[in-house]
Amino acid sequence: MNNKKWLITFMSIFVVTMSLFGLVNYVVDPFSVFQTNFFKRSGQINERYVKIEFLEKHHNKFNAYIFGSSRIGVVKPEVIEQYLPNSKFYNFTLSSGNLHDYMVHLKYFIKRKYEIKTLYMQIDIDDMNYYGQDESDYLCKLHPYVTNEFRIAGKMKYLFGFFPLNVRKKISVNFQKDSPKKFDVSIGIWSLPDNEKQLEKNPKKYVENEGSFHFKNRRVLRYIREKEAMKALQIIVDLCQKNKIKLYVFTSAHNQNKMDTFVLEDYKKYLRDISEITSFYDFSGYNSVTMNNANYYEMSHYRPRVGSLMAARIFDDKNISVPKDFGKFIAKGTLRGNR
Amino acid sequence: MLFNSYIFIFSFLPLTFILYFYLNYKKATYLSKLSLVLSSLFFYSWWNPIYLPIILVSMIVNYQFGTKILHKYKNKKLILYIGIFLNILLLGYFKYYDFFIENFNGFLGTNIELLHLALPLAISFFTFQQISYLVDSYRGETKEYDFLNYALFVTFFPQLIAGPIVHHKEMMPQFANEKNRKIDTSNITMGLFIFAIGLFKKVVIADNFAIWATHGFDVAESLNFFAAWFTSLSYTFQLYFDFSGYTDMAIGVALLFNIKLPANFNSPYKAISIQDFWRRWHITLSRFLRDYIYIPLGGNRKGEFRTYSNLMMTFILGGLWHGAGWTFLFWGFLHGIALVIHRAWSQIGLKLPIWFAWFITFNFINISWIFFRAKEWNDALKVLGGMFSFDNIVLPKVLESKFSFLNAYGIDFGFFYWYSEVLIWIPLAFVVVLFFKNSMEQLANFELNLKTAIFAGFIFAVGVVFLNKVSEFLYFNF
Repeated sequence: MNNKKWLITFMSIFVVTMSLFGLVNYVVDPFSVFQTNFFKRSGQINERYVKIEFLEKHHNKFNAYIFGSSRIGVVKPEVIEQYLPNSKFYNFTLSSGNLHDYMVHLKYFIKRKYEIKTLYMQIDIDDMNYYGQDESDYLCKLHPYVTNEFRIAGKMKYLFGFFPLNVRKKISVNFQKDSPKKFDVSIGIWSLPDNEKQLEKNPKKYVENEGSFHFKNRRVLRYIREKEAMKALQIIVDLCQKNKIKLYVFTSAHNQNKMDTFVLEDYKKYLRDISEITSFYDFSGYNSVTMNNANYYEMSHYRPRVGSLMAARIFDDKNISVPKDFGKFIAKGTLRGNR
Repeated sequence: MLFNSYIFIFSFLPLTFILYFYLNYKKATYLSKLSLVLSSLFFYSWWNPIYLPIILVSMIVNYQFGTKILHKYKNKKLILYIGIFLNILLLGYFKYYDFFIENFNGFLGTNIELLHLALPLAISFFTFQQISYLVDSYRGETKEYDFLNYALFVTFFPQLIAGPIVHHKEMMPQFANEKNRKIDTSNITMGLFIFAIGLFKKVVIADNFAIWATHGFDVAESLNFFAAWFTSLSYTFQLYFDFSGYTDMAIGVALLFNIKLPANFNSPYKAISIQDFWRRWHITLSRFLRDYIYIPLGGNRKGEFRTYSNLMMTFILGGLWHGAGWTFLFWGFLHGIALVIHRAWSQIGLKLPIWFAWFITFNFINISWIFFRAKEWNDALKVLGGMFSFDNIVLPKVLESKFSFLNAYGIDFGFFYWYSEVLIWIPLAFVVVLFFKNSMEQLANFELNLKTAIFAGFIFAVGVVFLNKVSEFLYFNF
């Protein structure tokens, strides 16, 4: 074999192998970025990508946004819209979303001149420990538009990447009997119909069988992203003021077992820091909602009815009976000096 | 710019290659060299252009000193010393100032402010390379009267960031050779072959080990016996595959330009003594330390005691070269001590069975890397504590029915929370580093056949699909 033939063989093998990877990623579409739909059920999607693609075409239909991690993804827009006449919400919930996400996306929406009258933003207590995303995590990767990259370059990374676990998961979801997590990109929410049915039918049994409620957690989550998180929150507040966006801020109603992962001193300091920047409703802590496991799918995600209770508290809905110990308004600056 | 990035592989490298050989084809030799220098500076600036002036000033000053050494014979020793001093001053300011002040404050209770300077990329490499140029000029072993040539020697992008640390005399004759100005398809095939191997080693192997090493060192609060061993071994393999992968890529890229860079690794984990290890690991750094520190200190020519102290001094400085921290210094100290013991042992004439010598050497290296990797002493002690604490051995629950008698020896069965993949990857890595030919041997035995073309094409493609993950070469930090 001479050098020329060697190089041709080398390149051919390279192209064939790359094409195989590309074909698998395109057909399986593990993050739903190509929308090929050979496999109907998603099970998992890159919400940051898919939702920006959707909003680029349909943002004119909305004038208000729900921001938050996946925990707020079960809240239907109509739950909030009933309290704010003429509002049309899009639930921009993001898997593992944190203050960095909310900041960059708010900046992007403003830059792209999306109409925003209201921002309904949930802050997770975990955000004291997490900020931004691992660039290698393609389920949480930002859309190339948001990072000022070329769309085609961003898409190529999904095409010619190695995602064995995501590919396997997407395929298995399409062959399993239970109906998986469902996404409705048109309003931004996700749902777990099977879990919801089981909880309605026999909440006691569901709670008994759900392992995460019974796992003994340790208080390990610390407040280590102080500077970045508070800077991002300040930017969000300032942007809302500057652009006349009505901002509602509230903390997530973390399940008691999730609460057990937070170092208490750090958790309190985190709340104090938030209150230095903005007023907010605090639904975190141990209360009658967070201590009832039947309000949760597992220790991380609450059910839609919790989201409705939170909205009822925030908008002071007298028609809904909200437990007294659930949610309190913290006016800006009032936690100063509290220990 | 990283070698393992789309922009390097699919844009920078092809464009630089085409431009360089096109200008050579047009007999524009000066312009071809200039294009390579400018491309290399662009490659360097890709991370942060703010440090571009530093490398430029460093090159200009060293070139001036080198030229003066070559011309002014009477004062050349003084010029050499000033030149070396200025290089060390530059390195010291950016790399060691904060470390020195921190310790000064700690010992004397002063409160001198730290600079918190970001370390300019590759400063340790280009500074050492230029010190060697000054010394070689002083010794009359090399000469350079053309700044563009000198700039090419320092900045040639395949070796600019993390070596191999090259001598002026082994690089410039290659650039001057007219034969090397034409595209050589045999060098292209060999270059692509070795680049593909290096890319695979880096992005597929090293970056996987990085996940486990990072978790053990930086994330886990405590480590049990197995988790601690998996952590240390993961880092040991990560470092080797990362750095040798980088070197393979550097050698491969240089070959595309018909330049042969020196080998930097020769199966270091096959070493059967610490001396053997240093002949196989980061060979060009060992060469530098030997030629420019150990031998000038007197080497082994001034009696046993001086030999031992020279060895210690050389390796402590070698440790400090890698990083401004006590853990690096201690790592260098450990290797110095090991070399002293090995020398004394060899002089007695005692010999160990080869397998036992390998076992001791590998474990010493594995353990000493812990200090090299740990960000703090506590991290090192956490890993070491887990490795040598036999009261926290936890085996997977599934084994309990067959091995329950081990309970009597304090061994527990429970949730085996460590990444199960390491159970496959670590034995595989041992097989590769101990029983496979290394990249340089593969290159030396390279044959143009279907097998090598398919192998290289396939691993190159696999390497490329792994590019979509974020990573960095470990030696960029040094």
